[in-house]
Amino acid sequence: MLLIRFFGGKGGVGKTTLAAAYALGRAGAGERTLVVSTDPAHSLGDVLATPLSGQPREVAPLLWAAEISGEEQARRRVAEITEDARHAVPREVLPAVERHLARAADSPGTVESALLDRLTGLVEEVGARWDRLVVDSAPTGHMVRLLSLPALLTPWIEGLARQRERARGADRLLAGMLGGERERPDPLLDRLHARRDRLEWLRARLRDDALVHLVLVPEQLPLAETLRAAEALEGGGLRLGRTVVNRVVPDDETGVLARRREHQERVLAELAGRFSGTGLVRVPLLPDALTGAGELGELARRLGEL
Amino acid sequence: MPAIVVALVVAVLFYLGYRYYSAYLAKNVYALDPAFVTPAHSMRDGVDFVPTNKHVLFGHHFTSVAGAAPIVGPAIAVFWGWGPALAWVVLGTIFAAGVHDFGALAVSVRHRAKSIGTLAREVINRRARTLFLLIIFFLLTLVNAVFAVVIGNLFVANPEAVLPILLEIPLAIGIGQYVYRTRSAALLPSIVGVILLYVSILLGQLVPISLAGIAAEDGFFTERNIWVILLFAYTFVASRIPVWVLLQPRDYINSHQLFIALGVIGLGIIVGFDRIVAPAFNDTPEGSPHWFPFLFITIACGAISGFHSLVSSGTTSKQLDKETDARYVGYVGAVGEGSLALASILACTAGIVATTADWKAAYPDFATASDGAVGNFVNGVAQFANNIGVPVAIGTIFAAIVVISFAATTMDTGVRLQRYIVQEIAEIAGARTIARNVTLATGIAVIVPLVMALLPGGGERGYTFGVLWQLFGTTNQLTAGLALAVVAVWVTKNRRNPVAVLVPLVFLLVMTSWALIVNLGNFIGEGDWVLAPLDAIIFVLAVWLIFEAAVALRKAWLGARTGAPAPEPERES
Amino acid sequence: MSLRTRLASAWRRAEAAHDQLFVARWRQGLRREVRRQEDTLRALVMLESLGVDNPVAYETLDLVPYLVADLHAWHRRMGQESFGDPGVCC
Repeated sequence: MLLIRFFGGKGGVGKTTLAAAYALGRAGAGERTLVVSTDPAHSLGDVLATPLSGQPREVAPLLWAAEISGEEQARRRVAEITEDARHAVPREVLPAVERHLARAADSPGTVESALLDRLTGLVEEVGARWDRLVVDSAPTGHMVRLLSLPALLTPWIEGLARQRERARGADRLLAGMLGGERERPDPLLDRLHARRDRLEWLRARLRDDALVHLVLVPEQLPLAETLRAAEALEGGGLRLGRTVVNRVVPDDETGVLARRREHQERVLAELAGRFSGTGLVRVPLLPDALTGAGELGELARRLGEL
Repeated sequence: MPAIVVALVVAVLFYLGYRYYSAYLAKNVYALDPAFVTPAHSMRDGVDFVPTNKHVLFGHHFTSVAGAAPIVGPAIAVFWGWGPALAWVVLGTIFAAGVHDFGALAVSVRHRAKSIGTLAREVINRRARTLFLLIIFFLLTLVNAVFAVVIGNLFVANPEAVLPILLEIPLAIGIGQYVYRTRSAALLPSIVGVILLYVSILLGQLVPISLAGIAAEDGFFTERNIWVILLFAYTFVASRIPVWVLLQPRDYINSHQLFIALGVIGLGIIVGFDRIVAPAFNDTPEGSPHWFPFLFITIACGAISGFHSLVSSGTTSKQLDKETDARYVGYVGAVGEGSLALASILACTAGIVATTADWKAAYPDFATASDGAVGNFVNGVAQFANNIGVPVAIGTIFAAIVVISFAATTMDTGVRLQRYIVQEIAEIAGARTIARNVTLATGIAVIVPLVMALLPGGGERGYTFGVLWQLFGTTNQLTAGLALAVVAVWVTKNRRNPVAVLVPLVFLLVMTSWALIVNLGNFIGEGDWVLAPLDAIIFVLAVWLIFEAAVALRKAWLGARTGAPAPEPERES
Repeated sequence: MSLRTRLASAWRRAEAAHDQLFVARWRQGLRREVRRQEDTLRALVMLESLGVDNPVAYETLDLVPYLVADLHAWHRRMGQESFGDPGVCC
């Protein structure tokens, strides 16, 4: 069941509007739908004409929305770990623990990892709390990197776990020789394995249950970027859904727009060739930006089930 | 002459050396101070830095330095008669090895227990560290090559020893696991383990393992060469296994075998009263190298071995409880190694055969002598064991197992060490790919000695193990030379008389360079294009070492004479 | 003292001597290896404390308290009240 949908593409092509409209459509069809934005420059709240936070909030019947952020998730996790550490480690090392945690939280890559972690938490709820999850992603490069993170991180964590097992192997032998306790469970190894399992689970879940809808406007530059993104995503084991072509000039236009249209036809032809397997959805150029649940309705109908 | 007489005379000489000469070194050259706070105390960490009782520490030190090398060298060198070999072992132990092992310990303990490679940089200069790495690279390459050949030869000569050696692997793992699981004292399982090892000799006799069926009579794929290839394949795999699984328990079993073997040999010599049948001086036949200067690179370990400075400075110096213990641990450690060499000399001159004519048949020329040397030692020990009631067939396998176990463990350790050396040299040379890739570095650590073990001997003459062995001896002597240079510079800087250190240093460097030059001529003459370049490279390293030592000593001497404050050791920037 | 107890105490002395002479060396090698492996892991997890980018810093955040605590327990065992530069431990 392809219950998780990502909307990705170059900045400004209308991802957020399309994601919101699609989510609205699904909610209208009776599915409990959650739409989240992962773009650090959130605009989902603007499109839905309602303020949003990191926690899902019901914005229309059966439609929930949230704007999630890596920084917030990292802060929350550091706080949790510090709280746990208060009970688990000696008091005198707490300052050192906090310093190390702060440094780790500032590490480059942490924000992305944290965002992925938050997303994993939401993916876990799909099937239980939500029937459908719609993700309005950050611009293409970010999205590709986010979705390929599990594949990048898993081997590294795997390596750490192996290193820990090596240390444990020698340590156990030593403990045996000294007459120490036997087979203490190792919290470190448990945690490493838990992290690895979580990443692997996410990877499998995304492979099986997620579609990525690339969004673009029919112009040369977005085309090139979309083709690259499609290749990277498929290389990373993700499946592409129908590609959404936004702002297609209708047939009956004249003047400047008609010339524009000729150019678009060439791009559309190329797209049709590349995405013949997944198919295209055309969304016509509209006179105004759409906001609010009411205005998105027509667009939602056009997108259908995608 | 009865072997026991020689053994007693040597024992007295060693005692005198320890009693008087090491006392002189301790007081006037190394200036040991009982009040000095050793790194074992000042840097105590419960792992490396642990103050240790001097007798216990001696046991650990001796177990670490003793191996197959002090057995093989003398077993070859008695070819020139027992006189020169014995004289070099005794004089070398008292005046060179003792000074060297003790000195390396003393200088390291005064420099926060740093290893000799680091001290080379701090006491001499930065280049000396690179030189050290290169010398160690060739030392490890050659030690792995010669020991592979030694084991290969022993496997070919003693197919009954193969099974016990194979069984030693699960036995070692088993003892490790048993000690871990039961958490009891290790004495009983260790006794059982050693007994099981020797019981497996009987199994080995029932099931001898020989490659004769699949090997070619001559050409490349001889029995020995196939064993050598298999051995390196084994070390490649073994070096990727965590040390505590196999290497450490094996080393543990070996430490028992060392003392058992020494006990058997000592008891056999006393009980058997075997006479030395070899001549004191054996005329060098046509086509064999002359004893001068080749004796001094044929016997390295046993007379003086640079390898000891690595153990002294890297490990033992971190555990010295009092600085004055360095005299006992370092000097007697060298004496212990000399005693192993003595045992080898006696086994090969008194143990192996009953008459002088038989002995001459075993040592007709240098090529035969060196190829058969370890076999002769094994047979000699079997005779000593027979004196105390062990059947010769079993005694032979017993001795073969001891030598093979030591050599195999050295190879295993050697490849692991070489991996780091390869990576470090690659780092200095800027070869990132090698520096970062463990598998590649291990591959180099295995392939280079494999080539050395299989390919030498161009031209008509064929392959002489002794020549490869001498090159190993050369690198070992150069390592010792570098350590002695470090010690000498340190002694000079501190305005003490360095003559006791300079004499063995100069002697070693002269003999080594001389032998290298003569050999280089021979290799080129014979068209041996594996050993000739190797010899040339080692010669360049020797000249480089002489240069660095001379420059550093002159600077230290001038500094000390002008009364200027002793220069600060060069620090890592 | 009966022969039995004398034998038993001699055996115990032999065990102690054997332990010092042979097993202690093995144990030390093992300790060194354990420390090396644990140091490696600690370095890998706390890369950013060494000034190196750590791609999995976030994923391993919850290991930090344990590793710092291990380090602390270890230097206390070794009889040092404080350890390392400020910020490394206490």
